[in-house]
Amino acid sequence: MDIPMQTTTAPSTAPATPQGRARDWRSMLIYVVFVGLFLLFAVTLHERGFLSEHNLMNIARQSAMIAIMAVGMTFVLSAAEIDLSFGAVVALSAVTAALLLPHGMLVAVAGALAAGALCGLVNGALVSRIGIPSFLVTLGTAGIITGITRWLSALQSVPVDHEVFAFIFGSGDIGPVPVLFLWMMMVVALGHVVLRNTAFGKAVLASGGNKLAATYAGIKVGRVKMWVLLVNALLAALAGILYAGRLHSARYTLGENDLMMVLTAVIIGGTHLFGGKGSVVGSLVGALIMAMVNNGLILMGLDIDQQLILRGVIIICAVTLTSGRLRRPRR
Amino acid sequence: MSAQPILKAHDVCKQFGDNQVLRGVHFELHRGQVQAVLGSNGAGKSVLMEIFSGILAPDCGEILLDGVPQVFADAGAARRAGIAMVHQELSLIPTMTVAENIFLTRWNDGWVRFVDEAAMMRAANVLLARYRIALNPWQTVGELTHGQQQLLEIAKALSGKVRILILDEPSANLCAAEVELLYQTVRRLSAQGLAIIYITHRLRDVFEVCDALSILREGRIAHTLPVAATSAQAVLTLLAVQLPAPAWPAARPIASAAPPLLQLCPSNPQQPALTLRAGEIVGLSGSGASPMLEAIFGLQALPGYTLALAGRAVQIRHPAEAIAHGLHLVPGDRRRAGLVLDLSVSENILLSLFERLSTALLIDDARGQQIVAGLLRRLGLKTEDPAQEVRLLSGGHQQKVLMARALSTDGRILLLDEPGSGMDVQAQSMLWQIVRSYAAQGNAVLIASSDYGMLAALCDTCHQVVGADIGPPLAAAAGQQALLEALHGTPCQP
Repeated sequence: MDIPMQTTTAPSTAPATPQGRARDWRSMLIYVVFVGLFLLFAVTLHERGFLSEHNLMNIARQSAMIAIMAVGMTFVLSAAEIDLSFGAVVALSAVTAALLLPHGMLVAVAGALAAGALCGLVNGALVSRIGIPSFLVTLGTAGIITGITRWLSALQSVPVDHEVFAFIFGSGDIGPVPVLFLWMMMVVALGHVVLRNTAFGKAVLASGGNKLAATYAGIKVGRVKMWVLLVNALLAALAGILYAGRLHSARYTLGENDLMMVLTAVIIGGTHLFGGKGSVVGSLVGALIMAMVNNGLILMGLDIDQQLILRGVIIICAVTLTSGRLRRPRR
Repeated sequence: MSAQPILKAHDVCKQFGDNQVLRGVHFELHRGQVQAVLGSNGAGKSVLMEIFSGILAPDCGEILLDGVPQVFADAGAARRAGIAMVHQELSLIPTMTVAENIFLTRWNDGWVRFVDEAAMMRAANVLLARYRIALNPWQTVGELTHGQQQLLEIAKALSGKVRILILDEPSANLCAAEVELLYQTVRRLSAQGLAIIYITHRLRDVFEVCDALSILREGRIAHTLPVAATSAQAVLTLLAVQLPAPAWPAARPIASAAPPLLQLCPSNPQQPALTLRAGEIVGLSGSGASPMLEAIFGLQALPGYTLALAGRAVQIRHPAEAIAHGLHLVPGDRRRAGLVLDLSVSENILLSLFERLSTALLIDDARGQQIVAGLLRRLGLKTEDPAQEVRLLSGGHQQKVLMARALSTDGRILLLDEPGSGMDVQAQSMLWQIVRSYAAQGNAVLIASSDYGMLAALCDTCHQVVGADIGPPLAAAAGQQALLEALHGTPCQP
């Protein structure tokens, strides 16, 4: 039917404010969900030490890893792209860092970041220059990168015997604060400012919201997509380095299960799965929720099967509450 | 011609908010008749047709079929009553075959029902043969030419029991050979007894295939006459009456010593060039007009022409470069190519400016808000909250947001693609004043439009653009009538 015609002729200013307010209210819901879940676990799992300092630090450490990866994914989803290869980049970067560590810490870090950047450049070039959808490109590169990582590590876990490296990248505590937490705050703050207050951030949201309109406004959409995938791969590489430091070893399986966790955290946080809207702070809260749920389910003493089922239920409820319709509403 | 009209509208009116689109339309259509409906944009043609085809319900008045009053609950009800409409924008699925597209609407009958492909092909063949439409039912729609797709759209509309066919500007995007094919099909259909309403802006259509014509003006049918009893000249006179009288002096000082702000020089020197000087408003009309604007803006290649800005030859490969050169384009389809609906009014306005607003990486928010406030005031939008999502604005205000974006970069050349579409008369006249004063400040405007009335009233010169070829300049000073005639080509006399 000729819906566009109707929308152009019918003036529709009247219901503006109530609708706008409803959407704002909905975006606040994630904080309500976070506080609600926290209170629920605090009461029901009090006996099992949910509120102990040790346990809260555990949650902070786990959410830090998810949040750092989620910041990159927030940019990717906001630009209406997806990156299925970043779990593979995490493993590649961790293994590269661990293998290069005997040559010095700087070499290890630089090598791992360079490996990540290379992956991001390949993804970005294939998406923006040749125009293959990022879903397909990263599905392919994920396999290639995992293969390389398995070959590099010969399927062995690579030990990390470098106390300074391990301290800076993941295992250390400065006073009561885990170093990992500081890394997370840094990445989140930077990501938040870049997405909200820079021309690049606006270009990301515009390209994801309406690619053609962004082009007409003079935004080079291809370049934006390239950068988004590059930034995401660099953050995945940083996550890989942090994994290596935190676990004192690197293995080709690292990051394997993070993709779904990170995507869920980002979407619970209010970023649109199909672009145009993104919130880095929302993703941080999403990561906290994911880490808290994981932790709570383990404390409940559930076995893996039960954890999986219950986690699935909680995720669906949280996504339903916070994002409602994932498709952009039509008028 | 039978005395009882097959379709009759009696005193039909329709209002959207404060905008009274139809103010008591009386209309009659007879069996076997092809009746043209003419009128400028916003005259209410589309709304009237949507009432006929059940998409909209009239506020008052009634629709009669064979003298029996009808109330259509929806488009399906109108279809069952035998009224089918072919919309201007095609609604075909390019990956499916011709036959699948013809029977697309029937697939709703039952999902579990088995699709008998052979029977579907046979039925498609029968249908295409009955109306002698030369299409292969097995062919994939994406492979068809635009003209063939238009014919398929007609075949699709005819697949049920149809007595009245409404064609909305069927010849708008067709080349000459395709138009001939369309004419043949329409003549054949009317010979078979079908009643056809033919909406068009082309006078040639009227004299080639139509029996009668009605002119819709300001929500009423102003004239209805048999085509045989009139002439192209007379129709043009009737159409020209409705041109808005220019509310501004026609002649304005133009500094002709300086090189033109924009010039398109053809590689073949025999062909006319397009020149846009400071203070000028130039109109483009015809099928190639919008693509020409997009090509100038760097969205597509510009074959056969070299672009010169202020006397210097330049090549523009991307809108970003065009904007850096002081051009900006306001697209015709604002939802598709203009707005990012998820972003706020102010973000949409500043979309082309964020990079320039950045001081040491961060956007200078205060300056941005200042610019937005200034533009909102200039465009009469100061009551709108710049922080609200742009999707919440009305169509006319959304169009102004795009205008504000184009003005935000302080360029000297404005490209307007179908401006004013979907805006009411007041909003339009305000837009024209903005365009006028912009040009009067020593800038230049290039407009692509099919609204010849607006072109004649607003522009200093006009060009007809067919395909990638620009026609010779037609001075508006020669009179609106002459301009209209030239833009529409000389119609074939019956």
